[in-house]
Amino acid sequence: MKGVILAGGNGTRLNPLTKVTNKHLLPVYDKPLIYYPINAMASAGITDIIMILSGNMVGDCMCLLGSGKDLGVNLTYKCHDSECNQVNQLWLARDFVDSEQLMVIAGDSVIVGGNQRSLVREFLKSKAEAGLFLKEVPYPERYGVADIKGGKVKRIEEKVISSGSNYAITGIYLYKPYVFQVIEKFRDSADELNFFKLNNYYIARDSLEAYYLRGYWINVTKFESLFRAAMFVREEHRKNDS
Amino acid sequence: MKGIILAGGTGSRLYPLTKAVNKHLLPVYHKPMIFYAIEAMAQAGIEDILVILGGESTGEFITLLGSGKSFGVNLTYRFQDEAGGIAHALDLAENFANNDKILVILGDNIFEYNLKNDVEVFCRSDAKAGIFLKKVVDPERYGIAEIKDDKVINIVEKPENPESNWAVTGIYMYTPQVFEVIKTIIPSDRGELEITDVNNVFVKDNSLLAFYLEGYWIDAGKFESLYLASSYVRQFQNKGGGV
Repeated sequence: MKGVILAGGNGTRLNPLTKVTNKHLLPVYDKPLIYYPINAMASAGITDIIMILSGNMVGDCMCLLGSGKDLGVNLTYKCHDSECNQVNQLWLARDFVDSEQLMVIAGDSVIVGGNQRSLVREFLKSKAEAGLFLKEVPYPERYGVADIKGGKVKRIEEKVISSGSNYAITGIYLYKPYVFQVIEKFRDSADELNFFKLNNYYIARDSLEAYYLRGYWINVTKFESLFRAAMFVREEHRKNDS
Repeated sequence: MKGIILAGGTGSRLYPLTKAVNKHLLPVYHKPMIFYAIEAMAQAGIEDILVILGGESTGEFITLLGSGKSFGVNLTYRFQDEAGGIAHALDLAENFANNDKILVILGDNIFEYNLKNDVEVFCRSDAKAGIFLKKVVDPERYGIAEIKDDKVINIVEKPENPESNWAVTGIYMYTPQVFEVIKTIIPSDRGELEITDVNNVFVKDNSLLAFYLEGYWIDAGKFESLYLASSYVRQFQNKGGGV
């Protein structure tokens, strides 16, 4: 199994912090942001990881992470030249992933205090073509959400006022290698492909499995989420120290 | 009066955050750390500021801060080739200060207090040095001022048996005599020119004034203090303080 971390973008909503610093190098308490998705993959048992980079100061990401040895992983890098959506970032990973199954994590995902290893194993053994990690949240209107029935995702919605579901779509996905054929098919059409459309394709085939993410999760997009992520990591350290 | 911001050092206590990012560019809530010292100077009415840089990725500093125009100040830069203590870094400011009085702020000090009045008091006074004190709960971690009859009578660096809870913060004011004093002090056991030794010369000369900081103050040199700095700034923002 291979890992893909989507660490592109300019982080403009975090300006001026990101004016001369790559968003993924900003601290979340005692570690740079990018350590968290890497550690989440490593603890799920995935050590062959490709980083898809873009934006300002991408070189610093490589200076920081190097071969990945310090984090117990094996890192490969690709860089896309312009701002592009996440599925187009994923597309850059096709040769690296080749014919293996893959886990995809957005580079701004902070996951702590939980281990997804057994869920990933479940997926590897299953017939499902794709998996979606969900997290129950108190304010579902801030996220895309999913309706689940019998362990399968039946419907996903982008940010809406009220949908009845409290399960946020975390931006962490599992796919069989067939995903690149699906993306290729869509790429020929005029519509821009995003993860919403991609996952709807699997829902239509009744083949999108729901997984409930373990541990704490937050996407760092603004000052407040950056601070909250740090707050949570600090609490987790204190719990472990005592 | 001129301003000196000391933003050198490698930030090794914040590793790996500082492996690819300069310590003074790390966020304190919504702004890079270095913004706070510049804004504090601007608030105190000081426009001509020298930033002394060192450590990793200093080029990014200049990209970020530029001429200083967006802060309403006028920035000059010097580079500190080797770490040699605060007093050693300050020595690089002699030509820039050019016989003016100076306000010195260490780039990792984050505080709420407006320095303006105290700066004016110092400028009008005959004092040759001014320090800002803040009461702390863990005095053994700081330079501590021993105070008698409202006067500082001695400063001890990280005392085992502290005489008071008054920590010497990283905010100082000097007359140009400070550069003569720096040339007379000798390196400490850790091989650095200590600002405490400089300040003690002025203490003995009976020419040092103490000022007292109100509100939060923290030096953001470690994970926990960097986090606390963010958390103070955030609280201050939320109650409408707006730094």
